[in-house]
Amino acid sequence: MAHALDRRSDRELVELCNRGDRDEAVQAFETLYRRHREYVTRVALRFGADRDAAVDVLQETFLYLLKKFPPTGEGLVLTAQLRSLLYPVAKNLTLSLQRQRARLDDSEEFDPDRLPAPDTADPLERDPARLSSALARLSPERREVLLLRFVDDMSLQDIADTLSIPLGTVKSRLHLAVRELRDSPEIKEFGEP
Amino acid sequence: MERDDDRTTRPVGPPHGVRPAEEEIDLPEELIQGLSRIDKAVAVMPPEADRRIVEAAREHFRDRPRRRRPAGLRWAMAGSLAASLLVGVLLWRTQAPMGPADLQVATVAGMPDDIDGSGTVDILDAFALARTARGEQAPAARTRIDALAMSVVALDRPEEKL
Repeated sequence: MAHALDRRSDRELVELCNRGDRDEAVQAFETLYRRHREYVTRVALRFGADRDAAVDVLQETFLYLLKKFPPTGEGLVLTAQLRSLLYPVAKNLTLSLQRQRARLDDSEEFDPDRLPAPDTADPLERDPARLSSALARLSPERREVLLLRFVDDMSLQDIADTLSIPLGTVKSRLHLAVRELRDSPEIKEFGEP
Repeated sequence: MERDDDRTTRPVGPPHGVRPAEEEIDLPEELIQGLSRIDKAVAVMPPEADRRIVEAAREHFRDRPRRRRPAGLRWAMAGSLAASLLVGVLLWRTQAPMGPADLQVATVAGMPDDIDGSGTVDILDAFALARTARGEQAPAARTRIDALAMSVVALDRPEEKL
């Protein structure tokens, strides 16, 4: 039945988790998990999680989502994309995990502004490295908005809701990010004028 | 997956409220694909992670009632099952070769002259019929008794009459 649910929208699956019978709810939740697990993992990696941390973040994010549904929660009303809910949870969990590890390592205080750029260790998988380099030079806030817009394909309003910032701030950050990226010398190879 | 496809029509403004030209806030397709390639290099997740999530979901929804099918549907399913079984048995019966026991059952079922219910028609049936019809003087009863007696003692009686 889980496969039969693959064609249902997130909203319908959430509704099954809210009100469905036992089997429906489990299968609907599993479908949501399988649909969005890669995205949540990517968000964790985006904020510097290693593989183990990404697994932790993935599980914690979906356990958080699970608790939104009865009997522990009152149910979820999806007014935007489910990713708008998952993103900040995954992001905050990742940052929190980073802080915990920094404390355990007794290293310098964790600074979220010093988020690592996406890993470019494997040039075959993470080509082009030049783009990564240009992306890494953006401030974390601009890079975040840029990725949410062009990679996650979120609307500006969804980005604003996801990050809990005003729409104007989203527009501003995106505009600056695009301009900065376009002005970057590394991206000339992509055919920019 | 819910997607937002209004990328090209959504207004995106610069910091000071001056609306930029469309090409200023968009990126070339090659660049977008490059960003996606960078971002989508995802580590392979261990299957244990999947299992833990599914188990957690089962535990979370454990007390939810299981759906009961409507009574009509349940009866329809039971009826369908019974009909299927009946058809299966009938098909098997017609396909299977008949042995002696099958022949006997068929003979009994089709033998109105087996008065004593022994499974065979013999002279005892003629006696039983005579006892049953004792007192009846109707020619029909006597004719039937005679015919039965003759048939069971005939030397050349065909087997199917038994």
